Amino acid sequence: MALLTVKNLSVGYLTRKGFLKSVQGVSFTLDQGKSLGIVGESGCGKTTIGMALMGLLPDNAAVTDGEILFEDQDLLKMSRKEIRQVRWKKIAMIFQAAMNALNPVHRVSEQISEAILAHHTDISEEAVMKQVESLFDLVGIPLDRMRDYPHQYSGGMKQRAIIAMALACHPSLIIADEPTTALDVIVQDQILSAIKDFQNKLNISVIFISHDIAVVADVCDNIGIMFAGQLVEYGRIEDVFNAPMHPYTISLLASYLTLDKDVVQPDSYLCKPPDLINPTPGCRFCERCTVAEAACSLMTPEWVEISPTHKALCYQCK
Amino acid sequence: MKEPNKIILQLEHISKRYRTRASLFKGDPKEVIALNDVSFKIFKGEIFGLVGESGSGKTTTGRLIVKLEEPDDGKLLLDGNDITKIKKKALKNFRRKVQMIFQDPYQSLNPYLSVYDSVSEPLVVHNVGNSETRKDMVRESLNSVGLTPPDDFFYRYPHQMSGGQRQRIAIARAMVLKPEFVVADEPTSMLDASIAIHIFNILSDLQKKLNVTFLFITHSLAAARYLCDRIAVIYKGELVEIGSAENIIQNPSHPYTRALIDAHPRFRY
Amino acid sequence: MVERFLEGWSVYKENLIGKIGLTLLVIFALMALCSFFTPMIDPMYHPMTGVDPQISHSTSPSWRHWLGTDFIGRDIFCQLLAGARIAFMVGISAAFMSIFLGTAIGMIAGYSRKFVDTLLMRLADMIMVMPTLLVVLILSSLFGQLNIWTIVLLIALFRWPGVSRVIRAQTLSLKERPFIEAAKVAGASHFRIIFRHIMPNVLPLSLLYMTFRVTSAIIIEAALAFLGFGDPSTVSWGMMLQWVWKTGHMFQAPYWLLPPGICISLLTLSFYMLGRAMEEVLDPRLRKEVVQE
Repeated sequence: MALLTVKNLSVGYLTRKGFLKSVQGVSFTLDQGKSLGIVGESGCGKTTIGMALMGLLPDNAAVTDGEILFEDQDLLKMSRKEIRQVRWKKIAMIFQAAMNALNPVHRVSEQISEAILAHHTDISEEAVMKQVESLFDLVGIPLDRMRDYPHQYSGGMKQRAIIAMALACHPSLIIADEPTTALDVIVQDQILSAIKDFQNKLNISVIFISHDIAVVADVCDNIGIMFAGQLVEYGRIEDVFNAPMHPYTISLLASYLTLDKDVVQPDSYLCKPPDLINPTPGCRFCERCTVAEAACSLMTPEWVEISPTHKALCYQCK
Repeated sequence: MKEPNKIILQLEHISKRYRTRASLFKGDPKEVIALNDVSFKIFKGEIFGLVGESGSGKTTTGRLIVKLEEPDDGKLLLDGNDITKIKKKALKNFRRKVQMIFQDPYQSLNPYLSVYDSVSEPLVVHNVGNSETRKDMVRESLNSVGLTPPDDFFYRYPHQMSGGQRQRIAIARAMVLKPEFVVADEPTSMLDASIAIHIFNILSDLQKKLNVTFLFITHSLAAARYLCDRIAVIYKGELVEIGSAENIIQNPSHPYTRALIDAHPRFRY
Repeated sequence: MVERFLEGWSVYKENLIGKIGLTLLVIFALMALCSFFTPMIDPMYHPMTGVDPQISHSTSPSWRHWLGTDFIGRDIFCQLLAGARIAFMVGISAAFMSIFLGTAIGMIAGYSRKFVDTLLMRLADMIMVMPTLLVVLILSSLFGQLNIWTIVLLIALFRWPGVSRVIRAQTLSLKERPFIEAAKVAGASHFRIIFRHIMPNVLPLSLLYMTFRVTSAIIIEAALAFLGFGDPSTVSWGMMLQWVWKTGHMFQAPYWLLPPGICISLLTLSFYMLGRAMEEVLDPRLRKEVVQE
């Protein structure tokens, strides 16, 4: 039984200019203990998916279709009260630029114990402190720094504290939204190791949202590539990286810089972001695609199964 | 065209210290050493990379070079001339030759100025051209960063454009006076990884067309490897290694460089 | 820029308070405009000198005089219209001048080094602690009845410190922003940076504060007039209240007492509402919609 099954999720935002279809028809599954990476550029809808899973969509957002089955319960059909039971206890989130989420006037250990106490009312103070200690241990912050204030922490340590907060209630799923942006390479490496570590130790599932495909490559079992609100390629990471099918995936992999391989020159970049208020009926990647044909802009693309563990949304992949 | 024998910029024993304010409870003000005895040369026409983590002093180096701040010790030389303590007219002349591309494209453009106003600002400040010739110069600059047709962008405002477009405009602004030396301070760290390479290509093209020298400040060795001819690695305010890009990455000599290389995500596929 | 204004307008339109405020303001503006025309209908409708030949005391509303007449037979409604004109004039001029001063000084203080900044701000502090009304009262008792424009100038001179503090704070934070550094690196002079780069970014705040300043300017002028220290040659609402009081008609002539008081309250309220709605336009965080992810 999969831990999380998202079926045909569609979310939009009501804006001054119209209804912005941020996410359209996204489906994926996630098993317990496995990790999924969702990769795409800014505005592709990946953060919206994370927010929808947490029930944290803003007031002007609307889920227009789909279901989110977590442990066999549809999160979208839950009341606010029920969602609060799930949030943080079963699904926790590490937000973008989370380092700024620490309250500067409270000690770090206090903030973590607050997270625990908010969700467990019947726990003794001693037990809470013990749990905080074990969390610090897990994320690799020295115990003698527990009672420091956030400004005394480095960027990497703050991020670890945020991870500790997310782990506080032993969730079964953690959604990490760009957890290593704004961190240096060495610190990024440490954070990614920490995430891999707790994932293995505690058998927690992780959904890793990022615009940087390299970061996801290190940590995830499965990967979903998103463009203009749609999932365009999905599968096991080895399959997608060894044999990328969708033109967008190919261009993403081509533009990634490493220390060992040479870069394949990407095609010229069209500056216009895709229109999400009135999206084209055909393939949304058409304009930027190098192998697009006339039919691509007219017909809605369908999923092509390349293998049982790899599929892509493109006619050219047949 | 690189002129390996011609030095365009030289830093000699540059040091910079920041004093934190004394507080009621903390006693003496502490001193943070941002840069400690840093010296290096940049040759005309090359793209020189300065790689380090945050707090290493790389951004401070860039700011000292464009004279947003003054060094506490040491000398700065441009084309052999000592520019460490120049002021007023000499400083203004200096600014025609040395420009900067900032890290955050969302903050480096004045939200109340149109694209044309922003890009033409250096021209107006230095009294270059008249309203007609300025339009042509702005057009040329916008073309060179891939914002075509340029006239379409003239009267747009920053908030109407994406991060990548804004950064291109910032580059167009820095290049409109055809400066000799440009400091690019982490120009892609606030942009998506997929856009970064396009920005690097623009910088590389500009270097070839205008023979401008770039100082590329970054925390990513991989980016420096792609773009730069030579790389210097900086750690806690000191230069630990300097050499050609390939050499540094294939044969790193300093342990910090090695740590940086190991930490880079590897593509196993 | 026009597009920006239209975008702001569409946000403003949805704000109920803003709409009410704007409607009231339009009504008062019309009243002020009409005050130019009423004496042309008949000289007896002149607010200051228009004495009705047939009436020489305070009368209640009639067809001839919609709000009745004051103690020497002048039409109250016309006085009300004239008062609207004075209120706008005083309010907007005083507010404009104090904002002009406050913004310029605030920007210069925020942008300059410690010495100039401290000097200007201590000056602002000294002026700010002085009670405006009291000082103007003392000055007018020393120098005799003050002309309306002198009153406007005095209000402006005493009210700029508040604005300058806010503008200074805004300037301080703007000063560190990359686009200001970019202007420096491009070679812009300090003057250019202040007036071309910083000013457009603080102007919305200035305009916002202007609406609140209008409120206080109108009230100060009304208070001065009511206490008898206003310009006796101008008919303002405060002056009308002074006449009601001084001629002992406070409890006998509600048609004379109430209109000016209500107008003062409504006009200041409408400017305040305008300001609040503008705040929502100017600060996207206060808006009720959130765009994108």
